Amino acid sequence: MKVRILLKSYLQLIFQDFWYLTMLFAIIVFGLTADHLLDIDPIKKYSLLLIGSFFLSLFATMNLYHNDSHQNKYLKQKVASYWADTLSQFLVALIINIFSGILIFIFSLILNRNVLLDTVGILTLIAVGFLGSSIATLFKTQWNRHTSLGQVGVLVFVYLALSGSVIDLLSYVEWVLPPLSKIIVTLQSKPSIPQLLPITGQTFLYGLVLFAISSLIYLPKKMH
Amino acid sequence: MKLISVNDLSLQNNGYFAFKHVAFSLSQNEIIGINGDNGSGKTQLLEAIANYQTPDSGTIEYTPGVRIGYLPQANPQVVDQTVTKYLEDIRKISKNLAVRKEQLQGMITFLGVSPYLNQPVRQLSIGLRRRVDFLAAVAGHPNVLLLDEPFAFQSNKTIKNMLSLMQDLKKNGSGIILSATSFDKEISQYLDTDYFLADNKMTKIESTTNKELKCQLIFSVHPNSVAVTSDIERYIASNLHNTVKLDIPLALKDAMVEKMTRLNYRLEEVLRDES
Repeated sequence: MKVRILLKSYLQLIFQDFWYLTMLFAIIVFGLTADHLLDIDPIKKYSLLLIGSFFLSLFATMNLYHNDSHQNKYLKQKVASYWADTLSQFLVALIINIFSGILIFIFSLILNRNVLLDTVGILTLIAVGFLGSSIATLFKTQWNRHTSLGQVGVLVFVYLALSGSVIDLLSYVEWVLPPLSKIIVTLQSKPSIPQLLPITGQTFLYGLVLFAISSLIYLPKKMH
Repeated sequence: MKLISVNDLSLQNNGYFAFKHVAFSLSQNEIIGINGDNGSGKTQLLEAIANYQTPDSGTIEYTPGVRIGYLPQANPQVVDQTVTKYLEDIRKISKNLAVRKEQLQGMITFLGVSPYLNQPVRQLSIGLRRRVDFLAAVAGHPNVLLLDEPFAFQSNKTIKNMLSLMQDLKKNGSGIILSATSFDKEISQYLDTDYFLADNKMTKIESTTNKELKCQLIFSVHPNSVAVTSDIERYIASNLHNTVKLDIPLALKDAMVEKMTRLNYRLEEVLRDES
């Protein structure tokens, strides 16, 4: 019951100011028109869609926590369950990323009869979006107590996510960096979407670990 | 039995104290009133008790099993659900500890919210939304009820009904803390203990309820007298023919005389209420 109430409230917050839907629609339009406008091949377009999906989820989730910090303070006192709240945040990230991943892929014109390609294509979009949501969750303190720390944290993680596999210096610690750039680099060196499956798994796992760390970091010290 | 003990609690925001060294306790079957001027720290104190603010020093001890229902001064939540759906969801959160569905229905009718049950909460007027928030605070059947300015935007009839519901909760073992800029005589009758929050300090008003000792101060108005401040205004019994009469608890006599003298009113007479 508690999870259902919070989930409903979070979904309302996501769709409340049309920010998420507008961004999603813009990415869908890009997927539909990029071939003609930019004259790029499907792999390059898919790479750009992955980056778009990452930022869509990052900003949508940050916006969710921003609205949440303003509006849901007293609802949470009534619910009085930290773990129900944490689970609801995880579920809402999962739901919006599944929703946007499927829509972005369907309208990207990459969809074909190769089921493996379609499945991995959608899963990678979802995983990359989930990674964006998990970074926003890790630094949700930017909307509460530690504004600067949260903002700097997001900037550092976004930088590492985009450049981790590009900068030689970071190659030794590549496994601890958000694997977005690894996906993009892999896609450019071996232009086939199905071979992304292992990195997709790694990305999803990375997001899960960030969610788990967040849930422990924000664990309240005193509860009723 | 004590429900909450507040010990030497202090809270500051950006270097300014909201309140300092506040200490009091709330027991079962007790209604506490906290009044004070705007910005005196009442809301911050209630938020600290409800766990929204972390105090800088001091402790709040909650007796195990305490469940808090809180009516905030302003609820920023945008609720798209209808009143029925929203209140039912809130009631269900507390599962079997909550008031029964029929009881909630009775309270909804009692507070005059019945005609608005199928309207989304966000479309209601401020006064009605506050009534819905009040119902949401009591729907979980809390044993500690914190009410921040509960009577704002309400008619006399609604205030009476709210007080009657609070009295019922009190009889059933709950402790209630009310905060408001001022309490009129009728509300004061329901208070077991009254505190006054001013200059960051909370002082107990020894006698506020019908058990109290009162006195009447009579002041003459002079050309250089300035308007009385809001914390004095609530005690004015009459203000006619250049004479201001204040009905105050006896404990406040000296402080009130000093304040009025500072505002250039001259004390003419002190009448003790012997009733």
